[in-house]
This record gives sequence, C-alpha cells and structure tokens, in this order.
Amino acid sequence: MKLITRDLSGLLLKIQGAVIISIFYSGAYAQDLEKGQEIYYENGCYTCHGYQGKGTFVLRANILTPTPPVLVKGKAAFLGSEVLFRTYLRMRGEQRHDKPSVEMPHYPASVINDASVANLYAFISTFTEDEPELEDIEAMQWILDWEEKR
Amino acid sequence: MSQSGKKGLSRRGFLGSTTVAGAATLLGGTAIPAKSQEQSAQGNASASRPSQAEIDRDTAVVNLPQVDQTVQRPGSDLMVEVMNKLGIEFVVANPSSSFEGLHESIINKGPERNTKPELISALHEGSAVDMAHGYAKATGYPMAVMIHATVGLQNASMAIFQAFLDKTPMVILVGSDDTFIRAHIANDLGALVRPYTKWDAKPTTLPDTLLAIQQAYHEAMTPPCAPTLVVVDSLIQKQEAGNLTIPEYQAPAPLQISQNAAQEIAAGLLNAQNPRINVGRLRTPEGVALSVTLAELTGACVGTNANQGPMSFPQGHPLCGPGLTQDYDFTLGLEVKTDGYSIMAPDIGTLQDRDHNGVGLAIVSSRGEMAPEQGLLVADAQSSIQPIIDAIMADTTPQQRTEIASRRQQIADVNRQQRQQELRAQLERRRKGWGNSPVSTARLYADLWPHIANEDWCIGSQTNFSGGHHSDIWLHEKPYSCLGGSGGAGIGYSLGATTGAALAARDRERIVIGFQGDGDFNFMPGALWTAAHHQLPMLVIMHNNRAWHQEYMFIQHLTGERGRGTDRAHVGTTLRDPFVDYKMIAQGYGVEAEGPISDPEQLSAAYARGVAAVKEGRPYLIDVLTQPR
Repeated sequence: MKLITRDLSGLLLKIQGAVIISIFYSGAYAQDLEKGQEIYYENGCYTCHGYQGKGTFVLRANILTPTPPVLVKGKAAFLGSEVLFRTYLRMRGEQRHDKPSVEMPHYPASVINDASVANLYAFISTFTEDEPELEDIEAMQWILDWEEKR
Repeated sequence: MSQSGKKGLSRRGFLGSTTVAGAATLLGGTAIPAKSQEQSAQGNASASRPSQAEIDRDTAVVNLPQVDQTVQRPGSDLMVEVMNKLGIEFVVANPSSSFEGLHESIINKGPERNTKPELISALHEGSAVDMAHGYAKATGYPMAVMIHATVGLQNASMAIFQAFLDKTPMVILVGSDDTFIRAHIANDLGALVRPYTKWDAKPTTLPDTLLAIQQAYHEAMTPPCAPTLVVVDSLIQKQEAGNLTIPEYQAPAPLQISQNAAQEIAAGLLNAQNPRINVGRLRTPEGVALSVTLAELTGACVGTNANQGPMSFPQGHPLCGPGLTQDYDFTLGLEVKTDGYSIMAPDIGTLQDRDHNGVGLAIVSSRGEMAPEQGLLVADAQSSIQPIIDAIMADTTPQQRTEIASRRQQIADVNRQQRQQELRAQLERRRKGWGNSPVSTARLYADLWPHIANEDWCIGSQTNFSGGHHSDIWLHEKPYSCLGGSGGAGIGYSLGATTGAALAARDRERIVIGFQGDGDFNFMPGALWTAAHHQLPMLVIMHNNRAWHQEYMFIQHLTGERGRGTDRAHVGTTLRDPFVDYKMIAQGYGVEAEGPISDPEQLSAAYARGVAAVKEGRPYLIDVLTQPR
C-alpha cells in the first residue's frame, strides 16, 4: 500500500506540472479519429474501459484496480488535454522503472508514439455520457414498479 | 464407520479394512469384499495398448460371442430397481460397451420403461457430470452418471473435481469389462478420481453391487455432500439374478446438534431483542422451508445467500434483510460462519487432507457438541433446525409471542423500504452504457427480468464472468433461483450445469436461464444436443465478448508491467479470426437460435421469443455481442 501511495504522490506532481504546460500548449499533432479508434481497439483499451469508454462491470479490471475509470472528459483529470493525457500515459511507465504502474498498462513512447497518442486522445474525446435517466429506461422502471407492487 | 484422523487409513484401503464392516452395518447389509490380491497382481498390464483384435471388436467388425442361455432376470435389472427405490430420476451417459447391460435395463425394464431413472444422452462425459452437478444443485438430490472405464472417467475427471469442491452429491457408475480392451481396464478404477470423490467401491458380486450403489447414494447425501463412485462390472450386469431381492435401504440421518445445544440456541433466539439468522447453503428445499419456520417463530431478521447460490433463504421474504438495526444481540449461522453461534457441516477439506484422512469419515469426528470458544457446532445445519424449532415451540411464553409478532411486522416494513432504496441505487449504477453497442452486461440481465420475474425460473449457469447483475436487481425467491458457480473455477461447466438444471425443471413447469460465456461454451457445446433431444426448457444467453477475457486482461497487465505494449495481448486470448457463429452451432445441434445481437434495442424482443419457446419446452439460444464485462 505504501508503494502505491508513493506512486500516486509522484503522479500528482507530474499532473500538476502537466497542467501548467497544457495551459500554453494544446498539442502539435494532427488528430485522426479513425486511426485513434484503431489504436484504442488494437491496444485493447476497450477490455477494461468498454467500447465507448464507459468502463465495465468487473470484479477486477486487473490485479489491483476494482473499477476502471469512465473515459469521458470531465470525469477523469488526465483527459483535460492531450498533453495531460500523454503525460499520464508516459509517466506511468517512466516514473519509477523499478516499480512499474500496476493500475493499468503504461505506454512509453516506444510503445505508442506521440502522434498515435494524439489520435487516441482525439478518439477518446468523442466519448460522451449519453445514458438516459433511470425513469426513462423502460426495463428499469418496470423493475422498480414490480418491486413496489409485490 | 471409523473416526477420522487415522493417518494410516486412506480411502485407498477403505474397503479393504475393518471399515468395510462398519459401512455395511450402516445399511444393514453384508460387507462389500475388497479387491482381491490376485486382481491387484494383474497390475501394469492394464495400461497396455489395445490389440488389433480388441480394436476390431470395438469397431464391431467381428461377431460378438454367442450366449448359450437366455438370462431371465439380469443383474442390471436389480441395479435399476435400486436406483428407482432411491428416487434417482435420471441416469446420464455417453453409451459404452462396459455398461451396456445396465443401459439395456434402464430403457427396457418394466413396468414403466425408461422412467425413474430415465436415460439421458450426453455427448461427453465431462458434460454428463456437469449435468448431474446442475441437477443436484437445483433439486438437492443426486442423479446418476454412467461412465466408461479408464477413458471415460478421465474425460469426466475435471467435472467431478468441481462437483466435489462444490459439495454436490452424485452417484457415478463406472462400467468395467475385464474381457474387453485392456487399456480400458484398471485394477483400481476409482483411484483415477479418488482425491476428489468422497467414497468409492469395486464390488465383485451382484449383491455387493446393489449394496454399493445404495452406499454410494448414502455417502453422497451425507454432509459433506460430494460425488461417490461404484465400479460396475459388465459380467455382473449380465448375470442371472435368480430370486435375489434388493436390500432394504435406510436414508441418511445426518448428524444433528445435541439437545443441550438446541435448547441453548432456542433460548438465545427467544430472549434476544434483535436476533439475526444468517443462512448459507442448506442441503435440500426441505431445509430451506425449515429455516423460514425458524425465522418466523423467532422474529429474527435473516441474511441470505440466495442471490449467490442454491438452497438458501428466500430473498423476498419479509424477514430477509438487515432488519431494524445491525447491532444484533444474538446471531445464528446455518451453514455459514457468524460471530455468534454457527452450525456447519464438516468442510470438504484440502486435497492433501483428503488423501490422508478420507473425507468420507470426517463426519463422525464431531458429536455436534458446542465448541464454546467459537460458538461453532460441527453438524448438519438442516437436520439441526427441527430440534431448535421443537425447543422454541415448547418454551415460548405468550408475552414473547406478542413481542415477536410485533417485531416481525417492524422488520418487514424496514426491510421492504431498504430493499426498494437499494434496488434503485443498484439500477442507477447500471445505467452506465445502457444504450451502447455492443450490449452492456448490466442490460443483458436487466432487460430479461421483466420477461421472467413472474415465471418459476432458475439460473443454471455461473454468472460472475458476465457481471452477476441478477444478484442485485432480481429477486431470488426459490431454493433453486441461483445455482452459483462451478466450485473449482474451472471453465466448461456452465452449459452442462444449465442442461442439468433444465432436466430438473422439465417436469416441474420451470424454466432455466443460462448466461453463457463464449469461452466456457466451446469446451463442451454438445450439451445443446442433449437439451434439444430431451426437449429441455432452457434459454441460453450468450455473453459473447469474443475472448477468454479474464486472461486477455491479465496478459495486458503483464505486458504493461514489462513495458512491451498491449497491442499483441489479444494473441491466444481472443476468439477472433474467425468469429464463432453460435447461432449456427446451436441450430446444428437442433436448438432454435438467433443472433448475434449487438443493438441493445433488439434484445428485449429476442428475450420475449426465447422465453416463449422455452415455456413450450423448446430450448433456445440468443447470441448477444456484449461489452467485455
């Protein structure tokens, strides 16, 4: 647990730094949604985050993470900008080489280059929260009514 | 029977020791002789390769030996009588020469041929055992499985292993033909699966075979329940029985708690102001009914495992829930450990312990007395409820009756309110990805509930890989509502278990649902043919994520740790190139099917069609492309 805390504190520092950078820098790479989607699927991002970034109902996404984050802007700090996102992916691999990230796979530039990160970020940025309200879902309303009447 | 803990007495020697007399005495019959030294000395030859003559006979290119007399009353007819008297409804098998005598008796012996037991056809021995596994969890009682010798038993072994870990009773009859292929013969067939069967025997006469089948049933049903095995010799099946009659059988009388313990628990429940009963997995529906009576007599709120596994307290009962407050002043656990008093059957133990001690003997190591330091009573909880009820009936004062009635009403009101709040919260969580394609696993369950909530239903498969959403948003009212997992976390269980649960459902106006993982499906898909052939009411819903997804995530995790990227993690972990067409497979086995469905808006209508078919006794498969989890 201590190791995780240390990793997280380092992560927070990096994110703070990245926030500062991102104020002045919005990314220099062209963004290709189609290629981004390809990267998302080929790297199996969907296995934990779902095909539309809604996460999954998993017992354990990997060894230590009980619930993967929803990949919708505004729901995860690292989606604030392309730079933040890239920093997040990179630092997970480069922050502590002796104690690699255990929450999700990390992605150094040797695995996904900067241009690919830009495309991936563009694709992820298309994810939205589009769920209907509970009252507007027929099956769920039926379940609630049935429970009340029984 | 002997005490457990005798290190020198393994079950290998069980039938060859003085223990035999004890086992036989239990049934009021004669002892079953152990395998002779002469047979043992035949030894290693049993593993030799089949000769050409043996293969020729196996493939029926030679004439079978002529018989010089007609047997009027074959021994296997009596074996069928024994199973009938035991109440065994089904015998499942893939056909084999080594139990052809028994096979012929089941299908032809009158007066009601092929009825109790009825022969069920399976395409694989592992699938057959999974069916018995699912059936036993749905009913609380064992069915029988016929398996052919060394080869069939090895096919079946993983499924037996899981049933053992899941404390599920079944009687396995292994055919053996000493005159046939040597490679199919073993001096000690039971040894192949002995570490994970509770009891086995290799009788050498017809009377002993009949006794052994009874004893196998008895041991399977005595807690801890588990598979048992009898080697049934092919010549004994075919020999003339003459005037032999089947032995009397006495049903198991599992160990109860002592009278003192029953009175102490009764007093605790009656004197408590906020008593609690937690119910785990009891043995049969009769035990579940007793637990309901106990709760109602004492006004205790009840915790249940009915949304996770079979034979637990009905989830919709007014007393089921957290109750008024959670500072309970007396707690009783029935087959579940609690901080207060717990009545629990002896555990099946570890594999190492089983080999040394013989789990079949463990039950007699306890006398059901209180272990005060832990409040743990080692006894069969189901059999121990009635003495507690008797003590409560005798000791309840009029004032206590009034207080208990009042408390019952208060608890019911609180539980109902709590259930509705919790249900809303659980549904709220499951809005996530509701309209997405492929279909979210939450929707896989939520869309089905309106179609079956008012039916008599059972989930026959394991559900944890597909999110297990029924646990939180359905209501599990029956002892068989949810049959739980495989016991051993092995893959390949669910389709067979669903089929077995559907066997139990067929004549009981019940429908069975299987949430079927695609990886699990492909181990033994032939169970679908069994469902079609026997017209079983089962709806198979594919949780088709086109992967062995757990492993996919593990490989991803590891590639991440090693910094090598996840773009190749799909190699060896996904079912793609080509995708599997489950509709076509099902139709090939004679099961109606549709799909793949990836548009969530099409799901409910498909469910309506599936449930309608299943209610008419026609198995149905719906292939649904899903989010990974």
